[in-house]
Parts: sequence; C-alpha cells; structure tokens
Amino acid sequence: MKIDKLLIIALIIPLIGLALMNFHAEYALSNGKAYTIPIKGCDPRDILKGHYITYRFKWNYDIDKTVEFLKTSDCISCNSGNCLCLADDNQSAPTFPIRCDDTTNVCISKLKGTFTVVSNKLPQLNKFKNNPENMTSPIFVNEDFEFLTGIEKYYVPENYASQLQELLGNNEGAIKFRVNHQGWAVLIDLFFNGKPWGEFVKK
Amino acid sequence: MNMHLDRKLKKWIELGIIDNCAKDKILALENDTKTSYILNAIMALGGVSIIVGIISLIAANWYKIPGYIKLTCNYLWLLALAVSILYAHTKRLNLIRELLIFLFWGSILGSIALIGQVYHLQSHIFNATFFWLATTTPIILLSKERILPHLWTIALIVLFALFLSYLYDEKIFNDPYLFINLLPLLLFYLSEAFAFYRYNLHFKPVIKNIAWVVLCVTVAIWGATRWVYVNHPDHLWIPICIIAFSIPALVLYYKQNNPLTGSLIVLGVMYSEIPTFIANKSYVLLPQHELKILGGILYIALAAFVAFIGIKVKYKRIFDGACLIIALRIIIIYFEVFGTLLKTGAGLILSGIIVLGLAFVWHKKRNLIWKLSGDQQ
Repeated sequence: MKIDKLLIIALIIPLIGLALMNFHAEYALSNGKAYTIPIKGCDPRDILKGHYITYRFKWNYDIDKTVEFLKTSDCISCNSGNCLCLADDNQSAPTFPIRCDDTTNVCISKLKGTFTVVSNKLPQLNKFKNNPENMTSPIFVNEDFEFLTGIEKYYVPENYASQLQELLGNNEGAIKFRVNHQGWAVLIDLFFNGKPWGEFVKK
Repeated sequence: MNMHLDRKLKKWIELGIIDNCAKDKILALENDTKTSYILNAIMALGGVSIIVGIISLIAANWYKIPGYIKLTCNYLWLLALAVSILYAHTKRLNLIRELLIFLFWGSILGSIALIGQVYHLQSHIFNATFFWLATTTPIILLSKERILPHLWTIALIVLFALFLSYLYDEKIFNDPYLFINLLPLLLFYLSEAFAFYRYNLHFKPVIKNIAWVVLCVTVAIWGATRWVYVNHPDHLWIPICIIAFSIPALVLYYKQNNPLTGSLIVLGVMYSEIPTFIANKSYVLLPQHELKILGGILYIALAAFVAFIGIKVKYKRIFDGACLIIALRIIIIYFEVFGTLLKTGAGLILSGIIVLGLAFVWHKKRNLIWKLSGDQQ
C-alpha cells in the first residue's frame, strides 16, 4: 500500500470517530423516556469552568420506600449498582432508590447514579436497625437524600450566567432529560417556568 | 552545532574510522539538511496560537447559532484541513504538511469539545482525551519531523495522568501515585518499540529523551519525597510489580551492550519503591528520622552512579550535573536532620564547608578523572 493511501486512511479515522460520536449523542437525545425534574442551585457557578452552572435535582422521594431501601441495602453510597426508580413520568411523582439489578416492575425507568444520605441521620438509623425495640427510627425528609445522575452541570453563555444563577436561587428551574437504554441520564435542556432558558431570557 | 554528533565524530577520528576530510563533509551535509530549531519553534508557536484560538471560538457563547450549524461548519473545516494535508503531501511541502497535520490534530480535540458542548455530554476528561489520541495517532505516526513526536509523547503523558485521575475519581484505585513510576518505564519500552518504525525515525530518540526526563523527575523529586513523608499504603504487590516491570529494561539494555543504562533505570525505580517496603501503614522497620537519612545517602549514591555513567559514556555534562545534585542533596540532608534553628544553622555551616571542600576537590581533580577514564575532553 502506498503512503498516500495510508495518509487518506489516517485522515478519515478521526472524522469517522467524530461522526460516530455525533450519531451516538443524537440517538441518545431522541430515544428513551423523557422526564422534566425541578432543580435547585448548588454553588451555581463552577469555579473552574465559569460558563457552567451547577445544580441538584429536587427529587420527590417516596420516604417509606427510601427508608426501606436504607434498611435493606448493604451499600448505600456505592458509586455503581444503585438506581433511582422513576415510577411515573409526572415530575412530581414519588421516586425511590433501588438496586439496579432489582427486578421490580413498578419502575418506568431505572436511572443510574449515586445515592447518598446527606444528613447525619444514617448512624441513628443504623442504631435503630440493630436495636429496633429500644430505639426510635429517625424521621427522614426529602432534603436528607441526594441522587446524582452525572448531568448536574449546564453550559450557559457568560453574559446570562448571573441571571440564570439568580433564577436557580429562586427555585424556578427544571431540567429535561432522557434515560437511555443503558440507564444513564442524557440532558436535553434547561427550563424556567416551562420554557427553554433561551426563550425565557429573551423575554 | 550538534554536540552529540560532534562527540561521535571526534571519537570516530580517534578510532581511525574517518578522517578530517570526511568529518567536514558530514558536518557540511548535516548543516545543509538539518531543520532549524528556531523555525520549528516559531511554527509550533503559531500552530499552538491558532489551535487555542479555535478552541476558544468553539467554547465561546455561540448560543444564537443552532448546534447543527456549528457542527456542519466544524466538519467543513476538518475536511478542508484534510484536503490541504493531502495537497501539501503530493507537492512535497513538508513543513506546511507538518503544520497542517498539527492543526488537524488540534482541531479534532476542539471538535470533541464542540460535540460535548452541543449535546451537553458530561464525562471524565480522560474519556475525551483517550478518544482524541486513539483516533489521531495514525496521522501523527505519518508525520516526518520531530515536533509532532514531541507533542504526541507529551499528550501521552497527559493521558496517563488523566487515567490515574480517572481511577482515583471513580474510586477504582485509591493510591494511583504508586503507578507514577510506571510512566518512565512505559516510555522506555515504547521508544524501543519504535526501533521497528522506519517512516519517522525521530520517534524513538524523542520518546527516549522524554523518558529520561520523566525518570529524572520521578526519581529526583517524587522518589526522594517518598523517603520523607512516610504514609505509604500497606499493599506491597504494586511496588513489587513495578520493580519486576523494570527488569526487562535491564535485560534489553544489557543485550544492547549498555548495561549501565539498564542498571540506572532499575536502581531509579527501586529507589522510589523501597520506602513502601520499609515503612507503610501496617508496619515501620525504620523510624522516620533514620529513614530520611537513609533516603539521603541512597540518593547521593544514585547520583554518584550517574556521575560514574557520565565518565563511562564520556559525557562531561552528566558528570558535572550529578556532582551538583550530590552537593545540593548534602545541604538538604541538614535541613531534614536538624530541627531547631540553632542546630539547622550549625548544620548548614558545616554542610556549606563540606560542599565547598568537595567543589574545590571536584574542580581540581575532575580533569584528572577524565584523563584516567581515557578521555582528553
């Protein structure tokens, strides 16, 4: 084979790679169940990457089922293996963590991510698990839990960043995403009061 | 003039392989055909500037332009670059071809960032860097000059660092620093693999030179620090594997009649890994105070070995550099050993006197050492 042909092949390889990456991203964006979940600001501007705003999803946890998961799970803060069961596409429908290999069929989607208890109530729950007769179970609320999906950042133009940051502080934002066939969240857009952020800031 | 070539020519004349006439012809040919470092540096600077500009443009707030237009423009730009590279290749415009390949290489990285921005893709930076290098390495291998091998090797080192960061962030392995000593070894083996690659002969020496720099940095800074800050993990299989991984280098260089080089690589790796065997989270064989002194003594012994290699390979700069490192390390030992200001002051005066004495002896006797080793240089 002449070197010219090798050169052509070497030039085509990265172009094909980019096209495949493009196709994969496009496919993930148009397939899978879509959800829109309210968000709250969390250190809204990424210090290292100023164009990104960071946020957390305001999941509406089914407290009883979540506490049940905490009582039975061996690995609560594991990086892998835990999913969030999205039982309804209504954004205010209750969700709860489950093991990803759980065969329960009440979930429309099982979203992969990292579930953690962010308050200090877990030790109290563990004491209760060991001695249920003499201890009382702590009362959990939504703010005690956190489920990170890996899409908790959104790229925005710098001149709108502070405005969007303020809106996030007022809890007016929501993120629309899809759950792909592998169970990961694929970000679609950022919304404010039901409108994509681009349209919203124009007004 | 190329100092390495100059030394070789002198040696060949001494051995009677060539005469002065042949030497002059070789030098004249080298001067005519060699690529100017300044020209290469200016080209690299211009290329970097353009790539940074492209990345900045891509990263800028093109929020008013739909994603598909951005992507289409980007693909057109890449196609234009690819066609230009082919054109420059057929017209034998080598320097322009290299510059265009460099631009294409950087533009692929920018394109990955653009797709990530348009589709809000979020993953560890290691994934993007790996994808970039995996898809662009073939075109870099078809370069002809030495700039791209340099940049490609540096990109490989960055990829390795990102891989360690990925392992750490994903909690797959919590002590990635144990793998840092693998890097120079991997580079040495990679450079040997390029002995079979004939299209661009710059790859092997470039990677080997960078491997030496990385080995020096890891041993001189990283390795030395590990004798001072003792909190090593207790699993010993990793340092054992890393030391075992360095043994083929010894065999390889021994077969190439260069056993000292192989020995230096193995000794350097062992120097950095031994602290884990002496003191880790499970047991401590030596108290930290004594460990520091032992580390300092071994460091000086290693530098003395480097000086010895300098004499053997008749390279005076290596010898001089190693002697300077020995002097500096002696002073650092006093900083490590003495705690109070009074003792540190007394130690520094004493070490200063020792260093001055050594410098005097070194200055007076180094020519004698060179004469004894059979080199008049």
